Parts: sequence; C-alpha cells; structure tokens
Amino acid sequence: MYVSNEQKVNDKLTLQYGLRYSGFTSIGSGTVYTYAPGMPKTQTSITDTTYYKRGEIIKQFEGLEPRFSGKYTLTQESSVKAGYNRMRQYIHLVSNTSAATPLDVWTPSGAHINPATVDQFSLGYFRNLKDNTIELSAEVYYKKYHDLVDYIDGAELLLNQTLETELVSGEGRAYGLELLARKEKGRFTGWIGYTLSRTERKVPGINHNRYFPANYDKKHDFTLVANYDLNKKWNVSANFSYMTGRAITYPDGRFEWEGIAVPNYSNRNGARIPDYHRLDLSINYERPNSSQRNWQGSWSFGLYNVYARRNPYSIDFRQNESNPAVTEAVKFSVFGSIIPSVTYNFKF
Amino acid sequence: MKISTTLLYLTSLLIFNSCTDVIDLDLTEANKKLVVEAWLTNDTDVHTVQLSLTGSYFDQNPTLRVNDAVVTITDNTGNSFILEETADGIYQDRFDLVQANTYFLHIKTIEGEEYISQGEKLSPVPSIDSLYAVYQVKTTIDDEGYFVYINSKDPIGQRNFYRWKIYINDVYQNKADNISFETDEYFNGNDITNFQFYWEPLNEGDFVKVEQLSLSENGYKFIKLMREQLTGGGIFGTPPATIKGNISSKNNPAETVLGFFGVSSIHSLKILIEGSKP
Repeated sequence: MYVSNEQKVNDKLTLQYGLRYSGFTSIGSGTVYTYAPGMPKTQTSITDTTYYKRGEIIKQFEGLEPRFSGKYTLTQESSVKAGYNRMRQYIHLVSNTSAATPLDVWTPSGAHINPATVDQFSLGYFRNLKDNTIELSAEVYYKKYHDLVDYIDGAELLLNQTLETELVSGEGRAYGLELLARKEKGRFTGWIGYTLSRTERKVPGINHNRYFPANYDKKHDFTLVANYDLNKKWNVSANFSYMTGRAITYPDGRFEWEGIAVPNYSNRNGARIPDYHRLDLSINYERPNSSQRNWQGSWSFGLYNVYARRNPYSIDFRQNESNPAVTEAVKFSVFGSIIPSVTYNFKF
Repeated sequence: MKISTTLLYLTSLLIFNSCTDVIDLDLTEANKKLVVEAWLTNDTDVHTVQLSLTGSYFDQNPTLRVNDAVVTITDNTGNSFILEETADGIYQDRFDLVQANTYFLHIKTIEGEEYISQGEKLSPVPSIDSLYAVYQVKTTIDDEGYFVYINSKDPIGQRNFYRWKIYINDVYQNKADNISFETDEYFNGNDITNFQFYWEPLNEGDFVKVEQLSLSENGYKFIKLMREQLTGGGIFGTPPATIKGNISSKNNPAETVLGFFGVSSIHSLKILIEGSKP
C-alpha cells in the first residue's frame, strides 16, 4: 500500500513525500530446523525440526517505508535537492563465487532470514550553464543497511537443504559523491561522469568483525562519452571508462603441507584486482530522413577496446601444473583484444 | 559468404586467444604463522610432527622450519610422550597408538608461545579387502591404461570418515586433485565395491600401494576444506577461505594456527600391475 503527496510550498520550494507499507509472509509446506542457541548453526547443532503444512504461515514480516524529497530553486539556473527514503527487501542475493557470474543463489526471507532494510539520504546541487546547453550536477549520498545476508568462509550454497548454516546477517554502509556534466546541444555533445564512493559490510565472524569492502565496491568510476557531428550524415563517437578494480581476497602467505604449497588467505576482499579501463571508438552513418520512406536506417562501424587492454575479470591462485610446490596467479580476461563491430539499426 | 565466414573465424580467434595469463602480482606478506603437520598412524610406532612457518606467497624456496620447540603428545589415559627434534623442524618419538584413545598435541615454542590441539580420537578402519587394476581402452575422457579399484566394507551403526592415499612406484601422489576422502553418509553399513578414487591411467609394471585411513569428523572437515581451497577456483569457484585446523594458541585464542593434528588407523594393500590386456 502506498500513499504520497506532492506539495508546492512556494515559488522556490517543492516537496514530495510518501509512505509505503509492505509485508511478506513465508508460507508452507516446508521444513524448518531449530538450531542450538548461542553458537554457529551447523548440521550437527540442529535441535528440532518443524514441519509446516501447505498454506500454514511460517513467518510474517511487515514494515513501513517512508520517503521524502524536496527541491529548492536558488536561481533560474540552479537548484538544490534533498531526499530520504527507507526500503525493505524480502528476497536476498547470496552469491559466493569469486567473480560476478550468472550462477547466483537467491533466497527469500523466512524463519531464519530477516528482510533487509536500508535508509538512504541524498543531497544534490544542480546548475545549468550557457543558456541551459550545459548541465552540471553534484550529489552526495549515504546509505545504511541492516540485515544484509552474507556467507561464512567456505560456504556451500548450491543445493543445500540447510542454507541457513552457511549464511550470516550483517550490516552495511555506502557513501559517495557523484559528479556529472552534460552537453546535449550543438555539434559536439556528450557527458562526463565521475563517482567517488565506498560500499562496505560488517558481518560477525568475518574479518574480525570489522568493516570490509563489498564485492562490488568501486572507489573511482569515471565515464566519458563524446559525440561529434561531422556533417548531417556522419558522426564520430568515443567512449572511455575507468573503474577501480573489483575487491578480491588475495593470499597473504603460503605454507607447506604434504609436500604441496597451500595459499593462506585472511582478510576477505582485502585487495583489488588491477583497475579496469577501456576505450571504444565508432563512426556512425545515418541516412537523412526521407519523406518517401517511413523507416530510417543507420550504420555504425566501431572498435571496442581500442588499445586492447586485457582487463582482468577474475584472478585465481593455483599450483603450477608441473610442480605442485610452485604457486602462481592467473588472470582471466573476457575481452582479450580489440573487437571490431559493425551494426545496422533501423527504426520505424 | 566467404568473406563473412573468414571474418567470423578471425574474430573468434581474436576473442578466444588465450584469455588466461599468468601474471605478476605484488602481494604483501602478513605476520608469519605457525604451521603444524602431524598425522599419526597406527602402522608404525615412530610418530612425527613437523613444525614450520608461513612464507611469502610467491617465494618458491622452502618455508622456514621451527626449531627448538618442546613438542609433547598426551592421551586421555595419562600418558605423555616428549618428542625430540631429529632433523630441521622434525620432532619424533616412539610409542604405540591405542584404539579408542584420544590424543592431544602440545607445542611450546622457544619464544614461550604455547599451543594445544583439540582431542583426536583413534577410530578403527576397515581393511581393504582387495585392490586390483582393470585395463580400459581410450575413451573421450581418459587415456588408455590401467585404473585401480578397491573393495572394502563400511561398519554399520557409526559415522565413518575415510581418506585414501595412493603411492605409485613409491612416490606419494600429493597433487591437490589426488586428495581423496569420503563419509559413509550414502553407503553406511554396506560393501564398498569397485571403488575408484584415483583417476589417472597407470602402466604395466607400475607398483601401486593404496592406504585407507580413518578420519575424525574434524579431520574430514579439514581435508575437505584443504582440497576445496586448492582445487576450487576459476570464475565459478568458491572464494578463498582460511583452512582452519584443530590447533589453537593458549596465549592468544584469536591467533590462526595452520595445519592439523590428525590420528588415523590405517590399512594398506599393494599390487604390481601385470599385463593382462585383452
């Protein structure tokens, strides 16, 4: 259920606020295990099993999600916006692969997993220049998460009947600054965006109960998109992005056991894979609008990854194939070189 | 059509042109941690404990040994055995293991740090009834050669954990893929027939020794985590984790001690692979 209102207080100030009420119920049929209190949940600490019939309520969750935003006009060309909202989520992504993959496990809230909540605050300053041809904005945000689901060290998530023995709930926080400049008119158009941010989690039992970077934490995220119209038919464009590498857990030492070298890891996500950057260029041809045809075609000839950077997608550590006492780091890249592309679009 | 197929072929070559590279990384080394390799078996009365330290990840030299420590093994019937350092980082003593006794490892380093293991109970292991090799022709997965199998029997009514080790021509096969272990969850009380745990083909004339060891639940968890951490990897692999053992520091309970103190009953069989190719 949702109720909201937009209110124009005066010429300069507009407010928008609303309240959302959401709920989620976990319903049987199902089996719920009870675990011994005061210790980590394991298969051997199950003290009781409860069977729920079809349609029987296992656990019910509900809560309020207020939201608020305000815009204050400073001058004809600049304004300030502020916002707050709270959100609840009843389904959780639990992914413990070392790289981002399509093999993710989702689990709904239930007897052992509470819904996740987040409180988000934002404040932004917006300004237009040169008769509204250039838009600038700067925004800061802060988010605080509760009941985020994370996994224990060495968790087995696939096809696990007692998934709750592999999961722990923790908290998180994220904060950042987003800058954007955009030019939409003229022969030369495009935008530049830069975000400086940090996303971290704190989970009992992991990293000595201290905050550690989330898997997708990216300190710097810079994107530049530029288009230049050569004439009415041809234009060229460039796209450059630069991102801090993904967080990864690196070994901090090795030890010998039964004649093989074994890596030792300690801080989860304590290191970064090398930074990601890529340049794409393309030249585009668009046939001018013709009143004789009701469709329009365009061609695009481009090159992805112009300087052929092998951005690492993931990094693994393994024993050398011929000598198990030697260890090495192996990087896997998805785009290994320049990829040319030809695209034909048409719209009607 | 010729141009586009060539283009497609070239493009796919470009993309799949060995997308994995061995790279150089700058890794910072953490404080050195104690590593204990101590697995007692009941087929001998000479028992060995090896103590070493962790090293830097890419350093290919052997890691440093720990010398001049006081290493003692005690059991739940009041016995206490002091081990002597017989070689660099290697401590030994002679005594017999007794079935159903629980053993503890105590270490006191020259710096005064004290460590103690959790109790490890010696459980019996069923004997390997037979060990044999079967010749198989080349298939899509394996090369041709002899593959070894064992027969054994799992005792009913108790939770058993096993580990198998194989020696080929007196060389212990210690690669991570060869770490083999199992619980009797799925075959409790039944015969273990035609069981294969070693998947490489062998040749005529190879001398094979197979050992079957009993593990405690902690031992099983350790071996399993060790294997997963060594072989799991790649983009779909599980992320790395510390391989927790069963030894902790008395002075500093939060300190990570690597390795494991294990106690197993062992039974072994040997065969010489003789030609019987059809």
